[in-house]
Amino acid sequence: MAEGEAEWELCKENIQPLRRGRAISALHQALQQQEGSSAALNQQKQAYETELRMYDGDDPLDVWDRYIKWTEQNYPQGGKESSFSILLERVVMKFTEEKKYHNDARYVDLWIRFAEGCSDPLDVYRYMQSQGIGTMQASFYISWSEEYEKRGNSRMADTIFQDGLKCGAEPLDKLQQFHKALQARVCRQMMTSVLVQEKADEPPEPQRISLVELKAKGKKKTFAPINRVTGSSVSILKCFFFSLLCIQLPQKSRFGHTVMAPPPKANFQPFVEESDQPPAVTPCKVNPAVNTVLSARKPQREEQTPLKRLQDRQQHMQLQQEDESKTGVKSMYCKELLFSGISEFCFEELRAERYRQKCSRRLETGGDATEQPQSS
Amino acid sequence: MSHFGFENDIHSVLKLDMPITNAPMARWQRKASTSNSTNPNTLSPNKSANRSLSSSKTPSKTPGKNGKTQSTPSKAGADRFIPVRNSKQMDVASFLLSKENEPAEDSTSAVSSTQKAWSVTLNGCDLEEAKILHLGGKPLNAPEGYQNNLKVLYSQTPTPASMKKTRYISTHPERILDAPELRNDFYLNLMDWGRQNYLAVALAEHVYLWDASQGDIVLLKKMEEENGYICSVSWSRDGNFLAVGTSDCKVELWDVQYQKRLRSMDGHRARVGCLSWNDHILSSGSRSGLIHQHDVRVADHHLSTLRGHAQEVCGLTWSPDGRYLASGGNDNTVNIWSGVQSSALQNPVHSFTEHEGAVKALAWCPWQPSILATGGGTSDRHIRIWNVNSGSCISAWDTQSQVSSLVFSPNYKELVSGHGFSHDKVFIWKYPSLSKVTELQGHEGRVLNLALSPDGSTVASLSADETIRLWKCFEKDPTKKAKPAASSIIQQHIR
Repeated sequence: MAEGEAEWELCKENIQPLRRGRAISALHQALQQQEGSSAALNQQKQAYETELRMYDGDDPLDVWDRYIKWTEQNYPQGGKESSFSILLERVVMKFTEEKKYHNDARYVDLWIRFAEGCSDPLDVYRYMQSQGIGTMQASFYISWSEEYEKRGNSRMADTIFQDGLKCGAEPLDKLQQFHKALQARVCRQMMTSVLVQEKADEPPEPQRISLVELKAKGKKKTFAPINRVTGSSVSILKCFFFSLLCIQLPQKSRFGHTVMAPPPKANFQPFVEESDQPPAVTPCKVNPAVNTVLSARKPQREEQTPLKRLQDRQQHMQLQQEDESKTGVKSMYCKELLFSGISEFCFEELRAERYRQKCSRRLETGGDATEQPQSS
Repeated sequence: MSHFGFENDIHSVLKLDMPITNAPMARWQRKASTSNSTNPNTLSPNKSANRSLSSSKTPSKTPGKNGKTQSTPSKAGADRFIPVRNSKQMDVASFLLSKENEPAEDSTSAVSSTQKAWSVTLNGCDLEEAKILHLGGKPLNAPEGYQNNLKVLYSQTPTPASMKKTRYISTHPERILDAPELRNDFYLNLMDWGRQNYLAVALAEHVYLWDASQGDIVLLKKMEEENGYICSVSWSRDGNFLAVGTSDCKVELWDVQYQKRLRSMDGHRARVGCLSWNDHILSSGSRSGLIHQHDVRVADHHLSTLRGHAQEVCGLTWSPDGRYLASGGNDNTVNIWSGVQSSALQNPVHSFTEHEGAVKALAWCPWQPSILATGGGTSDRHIRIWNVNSGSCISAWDTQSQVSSLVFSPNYKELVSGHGFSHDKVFIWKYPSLSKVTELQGHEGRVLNLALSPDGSTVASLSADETIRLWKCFEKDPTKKAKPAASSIIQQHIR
């Protein structure tokens, strides 16, 4: 196994550590497929996507749960191609209405993973509590208090545990054990902070004072100074002088980066090979309208957090139902099935899957018929 | 009444001379107890050294088997699962092992079914299905007060917002560039910003150049080999030549002005993940752990090979004065090589092994000679500052995330670090006080590389969410009058 062990160690920085650990066989498979083509991985993904749509039992959460676990194990680097966060968001949104899953351990686990990926997990936890999701599960209270503990708010962390104990979350002994561990940690911290001596005060760095008026700089276009530390009046005088003197602002091109002085000549001359064949693709300019590589986009403010999206969607769905009764617009095709997973399915794929299932069922009954001739 | 218990606990904990009940056992205690426990198990096929392999537990449902107490001290390796050791399983295990060697007995189906029934009743389980070694039972919980250091890696830890900023740094990127099909691999160095203000980015099998002043995009190279990809790009010091390392073990040299490939240097046996220039010397590090030095001016380019790493070389930088070459590898070592080409067999001047993760982030301080900053990978998460002349580590601190790139910024004397698992932020630290100035958040995937613009005002970060964000953090105060060149020359002459 020494060979196998060395394999993952060579890519150890590309493997995202998971709280739940990784199965080594899945890891090997995933790492092997990264080097070569990812056909097998894609096939499995397709299989899961199909299963999502064709499932007609009474536990659809199971398919989602397995799919997410498989994605987590088989894409060790995380990143965009695993679309892990999209999956989480979808599953979380899909089952918010179903009461039966609200305290299902798997569902709560998925919510917790979703919260960990959000920028503000506390919001998500509060939302969960308001909706009654996971309030009977110990893992919910444990992760919530962990969040508070990370932010240094151990008092709130303790309150959360007490909430959980009041609600009688299952399993109770786990909750109590984590509660005790939290208390032990808090005591330990108090003990160490008593022992540690205070560091010598560093020479006070110049401070920024709130709401003080900044001297605007520049003659043609006034803009705020970069260095906002207000020192003594001497510096203000200096600034004043500078603004009076004639300053040649560097030329700014359209993109804002200053035009450099003419580039220095190379210090050395590299040896040029005589190449018999020209390269396959000659260097060329990329038309940004055609190829969007390296094209710029304006940084948009991140107001649409996933949690907001969830809340919006609920409102939207309510409105939609009202709309339908009003305007009577209803989609006549299985819209939900097509858009169920990550990628969009086309009608033919659904048909193919149904046909395959019918064929396999026919084979089974046909096979049974040969063994027991009196089958129906 | 539980709050009294809490108070008592606090009192007992604060009284420093009470015996410690919750901590793991001292080493001498552990040794004493293991020697007592291994004596009775002389029949066990495994020695006590391999504790983790040495138990078996048949998957039976009979009660009472789970209640056996631990014979091995469970507190020794606090995070290891040491299963229950039960002498009965040893007998079953040795029986199953020896049964393999005996010839299979032929028996009629009727007899074998009764045999099976007898065996199930006698043994309490079906021996055919029993496993020789089986890791079962509930995992032990960590001892009280145990704190897992790796917890920071599993989710984003919000860092305390107690940073003092003396200047305004925008927390939003000035610009976001799209980088589709970027290869999400920690060990590659896919971005570099050249002196001519071109940003070179390698996306899968293409190399693109982005003109930072005009915004034009040029596709420079596409790999001809099927399934090949670019592993590293590096600009020469004056920005005229671009070195490209590929997965088919070649290093190519491109002239950017004429957009022509000048030469292709081979010699490596594995992909070339990092490159660094020192005037006309180009150093290339590969997955085999070897570093080749090339002189690009002559036809026979290979000057020497440096052997210092056992695994992939992921970080390589020459010091600005050309005296040292720093290399970091996946084997957690940082080697410092002398810039002087002494003999064919060269040993590193220093070899630092304090990091516990792969070292890709290396940066020399431009304004202080012989100061090197290194950052460790997921298991280490520390940034260390070294004095290369003395070979000592000046300082080290924990950043709580995989460090993938380091860049010194001369404008305000700061150090910028880019991070991966688990928070994907870019930190700016004041040097040499090493206090955090700010953190730049916005990337949705881990930051793989950083590059500083030639005028020092902007830092570009390349990330696994397939974007490049340009953060304008080191903008010089435009009203600060730059010292006119004439006066400095006069000063030099007078001096």
